[in-house]
Amino acid sequence: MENMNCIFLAIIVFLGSISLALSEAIDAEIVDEFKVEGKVEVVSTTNKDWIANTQVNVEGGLFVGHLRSDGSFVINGVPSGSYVVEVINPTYMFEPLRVDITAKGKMRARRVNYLQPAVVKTVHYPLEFRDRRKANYFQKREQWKITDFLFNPMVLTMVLPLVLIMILPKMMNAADPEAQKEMQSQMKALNDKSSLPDMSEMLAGWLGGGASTKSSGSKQNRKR
Amino acid sequence: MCLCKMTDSIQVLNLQNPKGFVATSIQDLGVQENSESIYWIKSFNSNEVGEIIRVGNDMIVIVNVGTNGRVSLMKQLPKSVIADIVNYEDKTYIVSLEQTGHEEYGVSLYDMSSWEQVLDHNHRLHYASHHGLPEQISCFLAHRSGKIVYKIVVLSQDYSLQLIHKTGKIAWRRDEFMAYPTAVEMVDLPVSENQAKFEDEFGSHDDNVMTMFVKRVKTQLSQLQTFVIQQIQKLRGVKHHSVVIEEGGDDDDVDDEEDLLRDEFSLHKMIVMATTPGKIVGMRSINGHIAWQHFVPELNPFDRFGKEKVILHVQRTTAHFPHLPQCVVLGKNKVSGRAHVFAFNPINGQRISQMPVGGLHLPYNIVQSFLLGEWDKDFMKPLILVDDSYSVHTFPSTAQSFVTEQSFNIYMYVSDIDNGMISGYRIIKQQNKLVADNVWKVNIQNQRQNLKITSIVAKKANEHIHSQGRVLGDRSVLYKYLNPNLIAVVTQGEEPATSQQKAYPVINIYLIDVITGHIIFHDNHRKAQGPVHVIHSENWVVYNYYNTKQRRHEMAALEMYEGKNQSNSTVFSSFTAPHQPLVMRQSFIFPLPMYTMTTSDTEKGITAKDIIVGLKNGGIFTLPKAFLDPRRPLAPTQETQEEGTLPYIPELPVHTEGMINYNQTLYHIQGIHTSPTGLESTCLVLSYGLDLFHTRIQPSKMFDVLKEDFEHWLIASVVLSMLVASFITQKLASRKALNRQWK
Repeated sequence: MENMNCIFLAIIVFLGSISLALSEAIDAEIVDEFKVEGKVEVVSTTNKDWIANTQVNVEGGLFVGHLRSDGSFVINGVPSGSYVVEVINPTYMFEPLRVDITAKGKMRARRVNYLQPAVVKTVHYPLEFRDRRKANYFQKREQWKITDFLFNPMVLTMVLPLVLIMILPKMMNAADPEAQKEMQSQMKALNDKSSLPDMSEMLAGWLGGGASTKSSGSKQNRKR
Repeated sequence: MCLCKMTDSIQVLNLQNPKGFVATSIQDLGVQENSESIYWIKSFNSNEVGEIIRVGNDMIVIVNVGTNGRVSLMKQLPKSVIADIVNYEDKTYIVSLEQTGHEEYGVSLYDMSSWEQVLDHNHRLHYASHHGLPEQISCFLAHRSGKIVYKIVVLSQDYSLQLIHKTGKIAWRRDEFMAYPTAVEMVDLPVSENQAKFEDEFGSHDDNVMTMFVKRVKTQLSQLQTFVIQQIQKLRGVKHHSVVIEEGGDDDDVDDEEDLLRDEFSLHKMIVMATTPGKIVGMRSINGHIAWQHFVPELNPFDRFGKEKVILHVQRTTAHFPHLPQCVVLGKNKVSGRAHVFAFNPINGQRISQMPVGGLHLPYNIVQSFLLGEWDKDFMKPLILVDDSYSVHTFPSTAQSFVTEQSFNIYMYVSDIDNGMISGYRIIKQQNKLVADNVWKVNIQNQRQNLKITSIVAKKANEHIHSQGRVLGDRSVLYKYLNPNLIAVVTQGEEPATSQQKAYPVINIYLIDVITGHIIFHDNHRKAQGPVHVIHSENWVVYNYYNTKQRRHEMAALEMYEGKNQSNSTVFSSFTAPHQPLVMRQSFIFPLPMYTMTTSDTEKGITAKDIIVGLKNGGIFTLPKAFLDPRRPLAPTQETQEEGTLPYIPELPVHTEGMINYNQTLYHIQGIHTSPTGLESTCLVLSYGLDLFHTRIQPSKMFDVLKEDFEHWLIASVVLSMLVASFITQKLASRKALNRQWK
């Protein structure tokens, strides 16, 4: 009886361990691996040279994919998790996208947002990459242009008045003698009109002006 | 079937009835060769079945393992280094390379059925000894005008691949060892002899005016001589003959290389690279051509932090004429695991005197090695080696007395990576020998987290720091904490799962002073994962890790300051240093994953520093250090604007204008090496790994040299025209005045 019990127990334990081992084995085999699919398009050009040197990196090279001739790609063997998928090309820039794969295999693609990782802005899956702009690696060297020189404020305040001073008299001389006389008379009138009482003349007039009028008056008297 | 190297025998195991290995020694097969080693090349089973085995260094044996397990000799090829079996047009041929002379191989093609030579005349090729022995060959045969022609691809021990065709000519060679670098260093080129004599005059200690004057006259006469000779040669059109040791017999690239002399701004350097197959190579940095090569197969790299590295030091630079420069490479011996050194002149590649061809095999295991900071009277810095019994040796061994003199000042540390322990030692003299004496131990292990030390980073030894402090917005000075004995230690581990939470990785960073063992700073990052890349320079540390909770890469910056007062303005001593420096820290988001990062380096340290990052998308990106400043304020005020710090934005800008390798994609970057040049604004960058890429960067733009398209002629012409205009106007004005006078 006891022996039977022992054997029975042993068999149960044995079966139990086998089932455990089997389930573990099954679990080990079902580390689910999914695939990431998408398509890359370049709208700027029609020739297909860029396909050859484009690479799709998942999580910085953990998984790498290349493009087929129509620009689509499939990356197999990706376990569940959250990954940043980016397209690398030396000439064109693409925006990266984040792909979340649940344990069951459901895919969700959203925009990459490092500042607020919880914000979800879903994007169509299978992934679609379109080129944003051409990669610009060089800064334009500062060139010396004539406009920089002419529009410089220092130049404007110094050179322009100089030019005007030189040119205007020339223009006036060029007119015929009558016009010149007219202009001269005009200038005189202007000058006389603008004989606003000069401070010093005024003061001199008040203080010592009487003497001069007297002397001029006396001179006139003498002449008479 | 397998080969047993110890007994020089072929061991056969029958898979159907496994009874044990049956050994057949090579001698039994009738091979008369006292061989040191047997090496299996390949097996073939097309028309005939057999194995090709190389015995010793110059005999090929082709054996057949029969069904009963008996090994029979098919053919013995004396003087052959390698062979391959090729089927062509229903016939089986053996193609083999035979040693016909020093560094010369001959190609032979035998018909296997008749064992006669097929090729009509001698096909000799030059095969340099620094490639080692060929490991594998692959042959293609074809018929052309009635004769058999071949194309043979040879893979050698130094990972180089060559194609032999026609009458034994080498069509191309790919030196693939350059994709497996273990250590890289850049060495200045020497100045010309005249220049050196000139500088020697100033360095001499003769106080006598007459001798100095005579020396000056002599050097100037010799300079005049060289100048006249140069002019004559220029007129004649004779180019300088090459002084550089080029590989003999290379028909393709015998270009007229210039002499290896320092150029005006010291931009041309010699890159010394040690690689995994034991190849040490010197390349010119201007064009990447190999100047010299050495094959040291016994030198194996150390395996440290999961990477293979050898230790390469420059013991004496080229600045001390007439002493020759010297570099030393330290690694493990392939067979015994003990220390193996190889010292050579980095400019012309010659081994130093008394250095055997395969390097010097030292009879002890190395625990720690470092270059002494001081040089002896011959301007040589001795390499100090500490073995596992903690006794101290030097290389060169003649420097032992000098090291003994300096031993009061020498401290070192040894880290136990797996247990998280760092121990500090000082060198003392014990019974006429130098030993390392334990001074302190720091235990940074946390058993629950199972921490392992993943990197230890110290500052670059020849780094110059220009300013002692930082000027703040209110015109006061914040003095930097410049401790040359500081190391940054990173440990990584995992916090185990509990009932409340899952397991998560942790990273710790410590700043430890090596002389006193004092932990200056400690920071802990939860839910952060490596690989952690660390840069430690001047008074700051920048490190990068992956934040698993927020799923992004982050960069943290630490800066150490002493405060408003400086503790010691002349010399830093760890014993009198302030205990708790002010450590400012800030972290930023770095959007892209990276392979490695380093900092730019200039001669005087005046130029702003750039962080050079090797990104996983194939670009090398330079980011000014000003972005990684812990003092970046959240809200800019008048003071911070005066200081010039940018306001804090969490994300670091990565844009293509900062990629120094423009559209040349570089994947699998193992490391980036930077070196200063004679120009303060320029730094040389060499990225090594799968590919080598070398360029110059100017972190603060090129402020010390006029740019290339500087319009000399425009400015000269403007000045001249102004002069002319002023003359003319003066003449005109005087004429006008004169005319007016006459009216």
